Amino acid sequence: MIDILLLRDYNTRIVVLGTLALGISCGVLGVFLLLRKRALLGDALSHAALPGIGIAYLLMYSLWGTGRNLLGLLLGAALSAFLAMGVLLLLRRYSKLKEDTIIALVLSTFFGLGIVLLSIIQKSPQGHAAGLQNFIYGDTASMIRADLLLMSLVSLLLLLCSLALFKEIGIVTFNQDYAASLGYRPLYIDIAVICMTVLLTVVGLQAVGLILMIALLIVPAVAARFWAQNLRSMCRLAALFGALSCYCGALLSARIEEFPAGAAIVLAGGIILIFSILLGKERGLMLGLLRNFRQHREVMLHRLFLALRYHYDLKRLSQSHNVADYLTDYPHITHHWLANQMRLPELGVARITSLAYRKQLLRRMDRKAYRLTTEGLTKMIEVVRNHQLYHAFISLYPQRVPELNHNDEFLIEKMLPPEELQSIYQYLQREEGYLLQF
Amino acid sequence: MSNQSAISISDLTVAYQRTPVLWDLHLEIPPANLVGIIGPNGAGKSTLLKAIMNIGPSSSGRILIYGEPYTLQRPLIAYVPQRNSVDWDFPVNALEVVAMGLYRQIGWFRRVNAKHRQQALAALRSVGMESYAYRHISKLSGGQQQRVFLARALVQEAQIFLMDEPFAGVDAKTEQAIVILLQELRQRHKTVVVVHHDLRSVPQYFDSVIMLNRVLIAAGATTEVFTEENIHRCYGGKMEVAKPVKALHSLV
Repeated sequence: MIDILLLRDYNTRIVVLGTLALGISCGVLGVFLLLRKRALLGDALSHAALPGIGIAYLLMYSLWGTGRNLLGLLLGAALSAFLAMGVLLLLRRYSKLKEDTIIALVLSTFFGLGIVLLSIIQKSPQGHAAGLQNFIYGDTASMIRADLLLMSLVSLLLLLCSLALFKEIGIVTFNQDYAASLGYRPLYIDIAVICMTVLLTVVGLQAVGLILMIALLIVPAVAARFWAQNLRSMCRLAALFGALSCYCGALLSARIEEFPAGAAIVLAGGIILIFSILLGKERGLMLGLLRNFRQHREVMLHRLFLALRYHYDLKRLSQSHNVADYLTDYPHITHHWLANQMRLPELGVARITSLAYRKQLLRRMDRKAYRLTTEGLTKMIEVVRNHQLYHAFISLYPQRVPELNHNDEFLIEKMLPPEELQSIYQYLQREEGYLLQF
Repeated sequence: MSNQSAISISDLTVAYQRTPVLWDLHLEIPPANLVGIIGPNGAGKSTLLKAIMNIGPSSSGRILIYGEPYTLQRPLIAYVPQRNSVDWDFPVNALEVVAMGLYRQIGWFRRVNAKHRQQALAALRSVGMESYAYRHISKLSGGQQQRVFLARALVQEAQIFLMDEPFAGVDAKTEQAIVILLQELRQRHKTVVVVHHDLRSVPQYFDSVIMLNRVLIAAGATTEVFTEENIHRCYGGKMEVAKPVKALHSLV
């Protein structure tokens, strides 16, 4: 086992290294396909490769008596994938069909033709041993050194191409019109991406199989989307994830007899994807839930403090010098009073007060009675003051309310320039007669 | 260069499939001018901008930029597309978007380096967005997104700015900031052409105005062309507009 993990075995080593190259390349190119919303297109292209393989086999067989020449087969695959792409583009341009319909049409007819050809070949005496079904499901173990070398070389070449065109593909994907205004030709860039996809798909067929090829292109990219905030890091991560899934998949397939490599690779990718969906830093579910939870607690505390402003005489509070002493003049804050004020059942109030108690904002005086701590008082003044300022801002500048969105700052005093704050302060003094101070 | 038109359009017709969107347009846009393009929805305003840059649907006619065809003068033009023409989900931050304005200068196959980032940062500073440089674009407000677009155009150091509804969906404060920026550009002898929707602010913002509804209704200095009669011809009778003259008075 250790031998296999560390790639001591020569056969395993070349298989794993070859598929690693494929995985890295697929990850990066997949990012572009995904962002350009061309995921399905990749699927159509890989399926469309099958009839080309069949025809190439038959042709080579009738010419030279044997059809088992990988280069010839891949050439056929590429040609029929390009043909499918041409049909696709033509239909898109001249028929009134929707893009997804066209993709479904092209994918199924080409694949159907391929299956027919393949079953004819399988029935012939030599055809059975040709191993063409490997192109459908993928089998890394059956690949010989030359196959792997070809796959690695083409993969690395395509990786270099996509890195060289990195910013051009990026700008066309992000903002097509603008890219065109700079003189880029979106159509040409698109065609370049599609051609690279065709080539990569074709060389990857033997390892992953045409049914699952799309998964190797898309899954690492999707997983990376959950972590990355910019294109560069998304590509890096997708490359890593692609490599990782290929590594695991190829190892599994080497270890276990008859284990389909394509499925293993995709499965490994799927596991990475699940982790990413759950834990991803950028869009992961867990972080989202955690953020929601925190926000919810924050809102509850705000409600508590806003209710408490009716418990205290804020005007007096704003003039008093030593507020902490002054607080003891007030009766305890009871659950009953809060429930009335916040229109919540006492149970709900209890949840909020115990939260505030844990945060040391409230001091417990009795089972259902509290008093603000100094910290709680500061926090209340902050919240109530901000609330006052918000209202003043909205009444003073109603049309500028949208500015308040997309601002990380909770405190309005950190958002606005001093001269505007001055006018808000004056407004509050005039309208309400006081403004809470720290 | 003084007497020459910044943009000169003659006999321009643009068609989507078979439907013409713009019919035989003749137009001269003088340099160092703040020009508004107005007209009802579907009048071909955006199409006109795209036709100038030769990126829209097929068009026929002759368009000259400072006396030369567009393909030779491309570096002179900076485009600010409509805000919704962008994939806002795309993983880039504000700085990276602004750096796109430098892509032609950087050239094929080359990477954005520290010097380019400095340039982009300076452009962001000039639109007051410096502190948002590393924020993802989808987390900016409409006004902030528009400013980023503007910064991207500024960094191109162009002579002519073509802007498609830069005021759409922005807050009042940003609108003011953008207007001031546009006026500065004009003072630096740039030509700024803006597709605009709000008729009330036309006399306040623009030196000249192009009134469009598939065909050219009128074009010229705002004070001469932006009349009630022309607005009526452009928008039909249904449009209720504050009288232009009144709008001018309210400014004073």
